[in-house]
Amino acid sequence: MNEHRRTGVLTEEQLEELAPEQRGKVAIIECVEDIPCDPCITACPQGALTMDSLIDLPELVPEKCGGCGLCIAECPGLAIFVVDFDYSDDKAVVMLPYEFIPLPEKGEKVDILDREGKKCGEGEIVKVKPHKNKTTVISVVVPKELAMQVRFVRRIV
Amino acid sequence: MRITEHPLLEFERGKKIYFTFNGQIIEAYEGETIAAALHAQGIKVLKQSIIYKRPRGFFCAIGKCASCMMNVDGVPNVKTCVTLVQDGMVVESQSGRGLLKTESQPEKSTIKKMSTQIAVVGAGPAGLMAAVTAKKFGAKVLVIDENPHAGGQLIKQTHKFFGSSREQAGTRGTQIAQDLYQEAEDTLMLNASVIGYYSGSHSLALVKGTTLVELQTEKVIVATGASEKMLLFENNDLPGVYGAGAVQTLMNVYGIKPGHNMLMVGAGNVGLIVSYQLLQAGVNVEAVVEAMPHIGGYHVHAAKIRRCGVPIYTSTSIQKALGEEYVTGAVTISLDENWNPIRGTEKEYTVDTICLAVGLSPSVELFHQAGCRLAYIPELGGNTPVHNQNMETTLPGVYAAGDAAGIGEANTAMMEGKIAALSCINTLELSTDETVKELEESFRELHLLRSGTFGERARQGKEKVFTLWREHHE
Repeated sequence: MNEHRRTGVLTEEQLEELAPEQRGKVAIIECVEDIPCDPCITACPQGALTMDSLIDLPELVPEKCGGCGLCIAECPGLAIFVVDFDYSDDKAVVMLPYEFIPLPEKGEKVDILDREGKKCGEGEIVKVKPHKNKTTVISVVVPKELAMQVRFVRRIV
Repeated sequence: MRITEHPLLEFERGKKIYFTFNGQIIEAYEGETIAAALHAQGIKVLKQSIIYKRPRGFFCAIGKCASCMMNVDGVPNVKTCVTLVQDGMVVESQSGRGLLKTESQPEKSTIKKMSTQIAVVGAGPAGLMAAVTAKKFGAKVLVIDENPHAGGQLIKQTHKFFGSSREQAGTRGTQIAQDLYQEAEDTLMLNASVIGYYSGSHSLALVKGTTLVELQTEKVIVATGASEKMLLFENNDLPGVYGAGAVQTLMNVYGIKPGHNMLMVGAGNVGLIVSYQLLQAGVNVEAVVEAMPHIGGYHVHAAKIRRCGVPIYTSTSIQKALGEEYVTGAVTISLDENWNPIRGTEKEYTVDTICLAVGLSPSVELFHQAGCRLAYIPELGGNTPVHNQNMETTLPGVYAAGDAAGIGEANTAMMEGKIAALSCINTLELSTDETVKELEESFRELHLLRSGTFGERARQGKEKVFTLWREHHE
């Protein structure tokens, strides 16, 4: 039994496989189970995502992915993130799906949370992009070393 | 308890109205059920149990469990979870079996005859899809549902659906329900209950208000859905122990918070999805406990609540609910590899609501009454009508679809509804090359939706059912 089936959290080995390069601006597809599902494939304007059969995992061609993030709001599992590993010398940007209210605003400081919901620091919202399907894509600036840890934000009230 | 703002839903509340509950004036909105309106005011105890006089609240909120029955305008045993509240109503909690006041004149009942080509029982995803398909190919259809809303469980599914982009994938369940409702609206008869099937004349008996209808039909598709499973633990009958569907009804249909602090029991897809929906509605989810050593639902659903800070404890079950009149807490306990509780691992939670998401059983009463053969298929949730690939039961002309034909999920339910309708069409005089082709295509789509690890149990269950059907006809 894979560890994530017990914890609901992907292991470091799994993440290593999902994002081996960790450079540039690229989608991280945190989809590891053979669920019959394919909306991400048609969402990508670059054709960077492929799938042979409905039951396959989506395959990303990193060279084709421009990190536009259109797939983030389309994924029914909210399992796609885009990370800009080279945002600045010491910062990265994480783009993540967000379905709560009130929405954070551009410029707002927020708590940044890992896959277990643990606070691992503070970040700044740089973009809030609503989608007609009501999954908003939020971009948050985080310390570079946390780029593969941060997967959620919490407003500071 | 009313939700005013929600990230995904808008609640269009009707006119403000007033009714009385045990003499107390209660504010409500038109379009709400009695039980929902009471819950919005924090009233959870609806009746007393017949023998031990224990407090009872609703459990299922979809008219199946009967634990919400109250006295309404002098009539006992009214299912308040599916009865809409009206201005000036007199609602009283019920103790015992209920007493019908015979001095007042009963309303005059009428008898009516109707006819159709295809009768569909249940307006959930399977029933609505069957109706839309049958209508598309020229059949006369009537869909009967006992709820005040069409859509079944779809109207509460705020998440985006998985599946194929060619079908509904990526669309929220609520939107799919709306689309299907619009297409099927003219085929619907709501607030009506089918009370029996009569094979001699191939007809259904149904009750709507005080009218008894004899519905003559050529084909019947039974898509009655499922009911939630109960779990054995101390105080499991306390008001505040709700099925996951009931929690969804309150918060996603009526915009009423089921509670403030929740313990979720079950980490299958339903438990995980409802936990996420609770967070979206502003309810705190203390923890999710799962008796199995692993999470049963999709990882992506688990990941969504984990990153919001909700812990999931596997190999852990609920030991008891705390409280006198309603839930004030819960105690969980860890289980060893043989599913035995490990003493000393008890953990107490201060919660006002316990949500059970421990599986579903097909609602098979009508199949049973009609004389269709049933079989106990654990992979499909329990007693299941024996049927073939066309969804036809052992009784010619009677079809099954959706959860009533074995527990699955909404995408496969819709596909089964489509298959049942096409099978009816193809044995009526409406069959064309197109309908034959469409049926073949639907078999392929259904097969695809059930492929993969998570579809394995359903595949095994259906294989058993098909084999039993073949044996029955040998």
